[in-house]
Formats: sequence, C-alpha cells, structure tokens
Amino acid sequence: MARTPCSDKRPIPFFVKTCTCGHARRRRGVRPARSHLVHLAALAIVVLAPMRPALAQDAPSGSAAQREPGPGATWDNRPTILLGEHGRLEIHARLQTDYLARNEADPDAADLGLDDRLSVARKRVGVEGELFGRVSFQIEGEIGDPEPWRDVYADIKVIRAVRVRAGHFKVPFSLEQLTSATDLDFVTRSAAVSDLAPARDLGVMVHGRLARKALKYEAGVFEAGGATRLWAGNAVRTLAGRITLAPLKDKSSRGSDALEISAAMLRTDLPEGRDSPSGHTAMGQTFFRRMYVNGTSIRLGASVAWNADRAALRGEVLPSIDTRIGQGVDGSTLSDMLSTGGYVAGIWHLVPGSKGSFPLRALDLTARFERLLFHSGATADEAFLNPRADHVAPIGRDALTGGVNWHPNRWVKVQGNVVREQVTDPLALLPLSATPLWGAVVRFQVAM
Amino acid sequence: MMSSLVTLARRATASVLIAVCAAATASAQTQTELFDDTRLHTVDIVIHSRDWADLRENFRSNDSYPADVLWNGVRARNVGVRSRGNGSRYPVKPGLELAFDHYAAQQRFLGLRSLVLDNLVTDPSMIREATAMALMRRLGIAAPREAPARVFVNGEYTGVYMMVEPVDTVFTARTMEPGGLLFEYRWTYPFFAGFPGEALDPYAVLFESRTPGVRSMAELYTHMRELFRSINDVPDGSFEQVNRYLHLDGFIRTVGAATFLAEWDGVLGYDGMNNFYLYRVGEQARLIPWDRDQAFRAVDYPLLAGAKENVLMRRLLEDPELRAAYVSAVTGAMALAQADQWLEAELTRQYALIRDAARADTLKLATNDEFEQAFATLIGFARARPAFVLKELAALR
Repeated sequence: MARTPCSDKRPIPFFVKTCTCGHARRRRGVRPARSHLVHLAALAIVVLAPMRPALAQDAPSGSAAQREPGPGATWDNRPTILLGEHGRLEIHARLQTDYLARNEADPDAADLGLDDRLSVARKRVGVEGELFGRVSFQIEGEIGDPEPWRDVYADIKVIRAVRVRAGHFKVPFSLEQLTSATDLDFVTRSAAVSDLAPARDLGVMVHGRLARKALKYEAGVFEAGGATRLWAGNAVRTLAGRITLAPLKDKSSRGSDALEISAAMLRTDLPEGRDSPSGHTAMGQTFFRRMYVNGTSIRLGASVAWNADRAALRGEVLPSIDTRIGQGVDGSTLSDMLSTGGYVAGIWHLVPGSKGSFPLRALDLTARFERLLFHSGATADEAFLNPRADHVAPIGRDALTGGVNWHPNRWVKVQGNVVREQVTDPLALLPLSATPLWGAVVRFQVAM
Repeated sequence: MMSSLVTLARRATASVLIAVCAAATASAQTQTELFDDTRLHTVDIVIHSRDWADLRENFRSNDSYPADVLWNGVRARNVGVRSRGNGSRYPVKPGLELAFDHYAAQQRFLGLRSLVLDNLVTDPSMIREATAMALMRRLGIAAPREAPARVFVNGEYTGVYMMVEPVDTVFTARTMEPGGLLFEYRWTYPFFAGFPGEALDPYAVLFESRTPGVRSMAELYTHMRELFRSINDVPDGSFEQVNRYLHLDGFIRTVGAATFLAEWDGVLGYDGMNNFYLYRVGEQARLIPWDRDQAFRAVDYPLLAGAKENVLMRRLLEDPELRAAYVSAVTGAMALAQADQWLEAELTRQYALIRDAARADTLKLATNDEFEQAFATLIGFARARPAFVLKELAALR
C-alpha cells in the first residue's frame, strides 16, 4: 500500500483538541497568530492613556463637530477631522486581547504557557463620518484577516423618519448581535446569538424612527454569505425586519433607551446543504453539528432592554425553523429543524460610567444565564444526531456567566468572566462530559 | 451531587435502552455470523444520492455521511459512512468505514462500534488480506476477523468488498483485556523505530489515539516515549528489558508470521514501519497487525527484508535468545501453513467463494484475467515459499 500522510489538515477552532475525523491534534499548531508586539503596544496605550489631559478624559462624549463647526482636527474620544459645515471624519481603532485562565474542556489546559493562553480576539481600524448633513458612512476592517471587511456602508437620510443604508453591515435582528463587541457586557456574546443570529451581510435597508423616536423600524434585504450579487437570479436572500418600541420618554418627551422592546423576523432562502444552525460552547467545542437543510429558514426574535442609572436588565429569545425538503437518506422530506435560544442578563453598575474617574471610571458586576436547544418537529421515531435524522435528538447547552467590567478610563476596559456550562443530552448520545465544565477568561480592551 | 447522580442514572438508562434496542434489532444475529467467512455476504447501503456523490468526489476526505445499512435482514440506522484507506482510496469503488457510533457514542451493531469495507483494489486476487489474517488467527495472534461481501449502494452493485473487523476498543476487549489505551500507527515519514525525542508531540503524530474520550498528552504518550527510549538505549545483551514496554513474545510471533507471508508493508516495511496498532495496558503495549493486502509479495522475498534498518528488529536479532524466538516464530507459521496444505486450501476456498461476484465486479481495478492470474500466483507462493524460507532460516540459525 502506498503511504500518504493523514490528509485531514483542516484548521480547527482555537480551543478544540481533535479534528473532525477524530485525529488527536494539538492546539499549539493552530493557534491564531499573535504577536508580543501587539500586547506591548496595548500595554503602552494603557500606561499612556491616563496621561492624556484631564480635560480630554472628562469631556462629555459626543460629536466634536457639534462644538467645533470650523474645519480642523481634534481628539476627543478619538482622532477626528472636522470639515466645517460639510461634515466630519472619525478614526476608530480597537484591540481586544484575551487571556485564558481556565478551560476544563482541555485536560492539558493547566500546562499551557503564556503564549498559549493569550490570543488577540480583535484588532480593528476604521473610519466613520458624516457628510453634508445627509450621508453618514462607516468603513471598518480587521487587520491581518484574509476577509478583513466588517462594516462598509453608506447611510442616506431621505427624510427625518426615513433613512436608507446600503453596503456590508449587521442584519437587523438580534439586540446583542447589533451591539458592538466593544460595548458588550460579557467577553463573548451568548451562544444563542452567536449560533442563531446572522452577523453582517451585503444588503440594503430602510430604517428610521417614528412617533417622536418611540418607534424604531428597520427592514432590509440581504445577500446571505455574500457569495453572489444581491440581485443575481441565484442569490440566497434574507429578508429581515425589526421593530423597537421605546415607550418611556426622556427629558425632551422622546422615546428613550430606558426601556426598549423589540421584535424581529428573518426569512432566508435555504439552498440544499449542511447549513442548519450549529451549537458551540464558550470554550469553542462544537456540541451540535449542522444538519442538512433545504427550503426556507424562518427566525424570530424578541428582546427587552431596561437601563437605569445603577442597573440594567436584558433578555432575548430567538426561535428558528429550518425546512429539510428531500434530505432523508432515501431522499424523503424530513421534519423541520428547530432551534431555540435565549438569555437573561443583569448588570449592576457599582460605579456608573457617568460618575467615576480615573482609575475607576466605571465598574460593573454582571451575570447572565443562557440556554440553547436543538431538536426537530418529529418526535415519534427513534431520535438520532446524524445530519439527516428525521427525529433529531434534543441537544442543548445551559451556561451561567458571572463577570466584572472595569473601565480605568474611557478607552480601556478589562473584563473578567467565569463560565459554568453544561451540555444537556438526555439520551446520552454525545461523548461529552456529563458534569458541568468551568472556564474563565480575562479580556483586555483598548478602543477609541 | 444529587444532580450528577441523576444525570449518571439517566445516561446509564439511555445506554441500556440503546443497547437493548440494538440487540433487539439485530435479533439473533451475532458477530460470529457477520464474520462467517464460509459464505459470501450481502450488504446494502442506503445513502442520500448527493452524499454518495460527495463521498466519491471527495474520496480523500474523512468526512462522514449518514446512512442506513442492511445485512442479513437486519437494518442498522444512523450509521456514519466515510471513505477510508491510504493508498487504496479510490473514487470509483471507495473503501468504506461504517461507523455505528459516529452519531451516537453508545450505538452498536451486533456489539460493534464500526465495520470496515475493504475495497480490495490494491490486491488483484482480492484474497491476500483475508488469508493472511486467517493464518494469524490460526497462530493465536489477535488479528481482525474478515468475511467477503457483495455491496450494494442504493440498489446498485458496487462490487466485492471484504468486511474487516476494526481494531478498536471492542476488538481489544474481545481479544485481550479491556481498559487499555489503543493507538493506530500513522505513516507520516519513514520511521524505523528510532527515538523521536523527549517532546511528546512527535509521538502523537505517529501514534494516533484511538481510545474514546479526551485524554492528556502525558497520559497518552509518556509510556510511548519510554518504549522508544528503551528500544534505542538499553545496553547490548539486555534487550529483553524492552519487554517492560512492549510484549516482545507477541511482537516476535506477529513479525515472524508476517515475514513468512512475505509482507512488505508491515512493521518491517519497505519504507519504514506501517500497518499496525499498539494496545497498552499498564506499561506494556501489544502489537496488533493491520492491513495485510501486501502480503504474498514474492516467493523469494527475503525473511529479513527491512530488519537491518529497523532499530527494534535489528537489536532484537542481536540477542541470541530473541533471535531463536524469531526463528521459532517463522518456523511455526510455516508449519501451520503447510499442515494439510492449509494455505493452498484456504486460498482456493476463498477464491471459489468470491469468484463469480468478483468477475461481475466491474468497478474493481484489475481485469478478470488479472484476477485469475493473481490467484494462480498465490497458489504458486503457497507451494514454493516454504522451501525458500527453510533456506533463509538455515542461514539465520
């Protein structure tokens, strides 16, 4: 027999020990690229940031253009080029570095060195701005990523209540997904959002606010995956709509963000393929693999966000239905694939952002409970986990996260999260731990 | 604590239910019947047409596809099917692994976790592997059971395959003792049992863990490192010390049988070690042979081909006692093959069993003439090999 090395050289997620064919593979060979230089640069910014003039630190946030109408440049929250009455350009940058403190899913985790524990989650730069009072735009990219572009769009104000956005941007669906990673209360988004909510796609969206900002609407059409042109005949399109009600008034009797209630819906074409949602733990293990689907995917979303001076509560639920026409092993149509997830999160502002000062500009305690469940419409026959199972065995994941967010100044945030997660597998079909696993990670973020 | 107990109880109940269901499905069928090599079996595979096309198109990939498998009136559902093999990977007639536990860790079929369907494309006679393994088993060596089968995919005849018992934890529990750690040797570069070094990573590359569950590198490979350290470092004249990490008697008997059978792609392979498993219980590992489709290389294939290059074999032969044991192992294998002309009779029986199905197998690589010629060559081997081996053994003693 001729000898050929194992052909399975596919990359595997950062925290996963084995590749899909079961070969023992070590993380060391596939860690994301990182550089000590990046960490040193971040450290320098942390040290230097508090040395910025106190005036800059304590200045209220907001557009510099509002205070300085003339052309020029300024650095308030971030470097800003002022174009006078014509508009402004703001330069953004952010760096997120994670330190893996604990990972019970990896038996070798205790032996990891500093290099193996550190990873760069995001290193992004971008520019956003406003031109002629009607056009705003954003261009943002990930440095070193083979697919670098994140937000790349233009947004045009047609009338006060109607704006049109076109380009590559987040699909209006999930509250947490629409929240920038810079502003998240936890190191990672909940699994329900990561695994069920779409992120960015190419598309066009109409949006605006009505009823004195008490009602916000977003509706758009997107080309899922960006593989074809939006208007091509074979494009895989997503129709998305989201309505947000802000019933409480602010000081000017307009809808405020003190309470926001949202409902959203997505309808996506599903070409034949193994493209159902999949499930992942916080430490990156896949506990539910994708199923074959064909037809249509419908996803619904509902969220509530309550924000007060000292505390905040958020919750979201995301059910989804994927059809599976002709996907049985014998070509028969399978029952719908059902995925449901959600979370409830609480934030206690020990030191609210508006009241602190360096080195304790803000301090939050956070907690989140989340649940994600996969199953199917059929429940009578024997339950399996193969990607063409009619009765999909129920597999889920519960996780409880506790954390602390410390903002030494406006640019720097340090987040610590401890996660206790457990895969729920009532039929014991998965070769995963039956006991809860703990993980802990510390994120260091510099953003401007 | 209580919730853990409840979870454990749930899992145990589920496992029992699955085992009972599988047992009920398989009714009175047993592994012995599945590997009954006195008859030509029939295996039907029902797989989504798109998956079958993908599997053939991406035959180098190890991706699994769901399927139902029917054998002897018993239907196994929820089976993971994938292309398998190294040099035998072939898109027209793919070698297949049927993994009954791929989608459900506890699922079994007749107690098996998986079943290999060898496509036999590297052997024009299609019976080398089965005959070689049959001789190994007759010698008391823990070797896979095999039986021929006609395989149909979605009703279409895909050809003659050999059903091969996989070397996994079910196999080791049946033939040895349970609870050990199993490793499959992965040919990565020409490796002749030298010392790969202190770091454990090189051992993980060469010896893939085949024991279910997540284990630390230290648990898996510390003893492996000590095995190769001892092979290379024990003083001359005390090579038996290697026995602490490798069951030398089993190793010698397996290699002895392989060299009699002129195996050129095994432990003493032409390009380094290949085609074996190691099963370790405690400190000591045992050798398990695999993939004998390159046995019967030639009547005059040297007994010690590859022995000089291989550190383990070279040092073993330098020890008079172990050298004598090796000569005895070859002699024993030859004697058993010659007794009542067993080898020739076995080759003839297996040939007769598959002949019609093999000739109807239009997807095989060899022509029907080549198939017949290959069988004739094997018969010639069975008749002439002992004389050559005797001559070689005389020089060894």
